[in-house]
Amino acid sequence: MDYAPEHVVFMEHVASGEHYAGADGKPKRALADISVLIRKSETWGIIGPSLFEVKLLLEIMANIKPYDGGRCVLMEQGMLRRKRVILRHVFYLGNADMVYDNMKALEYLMFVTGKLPIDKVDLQEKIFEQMIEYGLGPISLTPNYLLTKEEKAVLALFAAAYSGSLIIIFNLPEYDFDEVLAGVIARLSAFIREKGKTLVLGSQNCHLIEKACSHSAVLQDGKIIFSDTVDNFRNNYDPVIVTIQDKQAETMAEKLAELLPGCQVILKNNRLMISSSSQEKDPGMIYKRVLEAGFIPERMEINPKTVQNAYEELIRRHDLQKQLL
Amino acid sequence: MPQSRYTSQEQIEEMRREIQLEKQKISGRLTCTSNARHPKERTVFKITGWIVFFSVVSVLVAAIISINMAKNRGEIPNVWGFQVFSVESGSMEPTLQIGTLIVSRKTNHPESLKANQIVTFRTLSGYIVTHRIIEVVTTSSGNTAYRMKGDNPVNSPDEDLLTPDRVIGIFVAKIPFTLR
Repeated sequence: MDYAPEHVVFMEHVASGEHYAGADGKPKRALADISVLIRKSETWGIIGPSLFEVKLLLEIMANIKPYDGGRCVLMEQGMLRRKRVILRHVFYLGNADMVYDNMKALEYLMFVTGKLPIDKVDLQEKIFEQMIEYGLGPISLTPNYLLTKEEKAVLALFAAAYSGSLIIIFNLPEYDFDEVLAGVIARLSAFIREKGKTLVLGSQNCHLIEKACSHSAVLQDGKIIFSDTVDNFRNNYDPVIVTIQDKQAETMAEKLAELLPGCQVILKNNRLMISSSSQEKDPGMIYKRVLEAGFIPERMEINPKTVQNAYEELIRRHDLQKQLL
Repeated sequence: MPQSRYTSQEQIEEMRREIQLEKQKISGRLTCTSNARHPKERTVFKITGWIVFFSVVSVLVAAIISINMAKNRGEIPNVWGFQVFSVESGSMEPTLQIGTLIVSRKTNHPESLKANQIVTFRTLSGYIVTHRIIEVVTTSSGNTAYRMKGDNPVNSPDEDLLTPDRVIGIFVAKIPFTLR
């Protein structure tokens, strides 16, 4: 493998000249001030409410789209602002069309890894067993034209993992990856990291970010409002302390709102989520109050902290801050 | 029957078997190869290869040197008695077309040539010509001479008889695909 520098992507106050129509009908600058540092062997999930912004940021990282302000360094090499060439060390996935329909899944992977200096039979065995292990067994020998675009995208990511490129940009935020495919992407992400490569994926799927990424960046209104590890994101921003499942969840919500003035009680999908951004964070105390209110919940559990909750809270706070300004 | 979207467990097992079979075949092939050639044999093959290579290179170098030496002496260059000429007129058409390269061989007995043989010789005016012997003639002094003529039907026999001392070589072959 080529020499891989420690700092893979370095963006400082990057701004794009592209605009899109905002909710009020006025043109809005897509990316205004982007600063992010991505290191070797990290998996970054770029998430945000605007699909266009996420896609554009990853396109700038891959050098497909130009940027108009700031500084952008990729693999310790400055990227010319107007150059629109995908660099040799970048494997860019902007759609699933690179998976040929006239082949089967395994056959395609053997085709794209054909130049690797490894015995072909050993390589075939390795890839085939890896596909099965990662959960792609049911489509391993399926003709590609029968696959969904999400399955094809995962197959392309598999190919990228075996490529010589040091950065893989998986720019498919519009694709909807189910639980199984998210699991495969997570396994592939670990494999890519093991090989010393870096994966950057654009997504609107919090579950995928939680499973597959080591780091996350949240993009809102053309700015990065959060960038750190996924664990820090979950722990610092998910305000939900406990979740309660009960038939009487609705009645319970009204009562608990009175009993827990410092907490927020939200009913979502028949589940009661009790969150607190400041004072009362003790689940024991909340349980005590629930019992005091005369309820014995069917199921009550301490929230394991999710990216979904953290993301919603961060966006809520950001919107609130905007309104105050 | 519509094709199933998913790969069945049987198909997976079948593929595994195929891969194992292929691996066995390869390992068998490797064993056969290693049995067939021992290190000693390989060394002999290597040495023979080098000897052949150096022989070919030596021959080529010798040929180049000999050709250059002959040129410097004003002689017609030859390699082991074989000379190459280029046909520059149509006097021997259709047998030898203009531009063909021909090979002639030096002869030790220029006085015993026969009719119908194609001969390369020097004319009295010094040009090198390749024509066919149409008649073997004995001169009044008892020496052998040859009447020459180009194969082209429009040609008439050469005016001068060819004497053995002017014979350069006997036509052997034309080199294929050398027509300019």
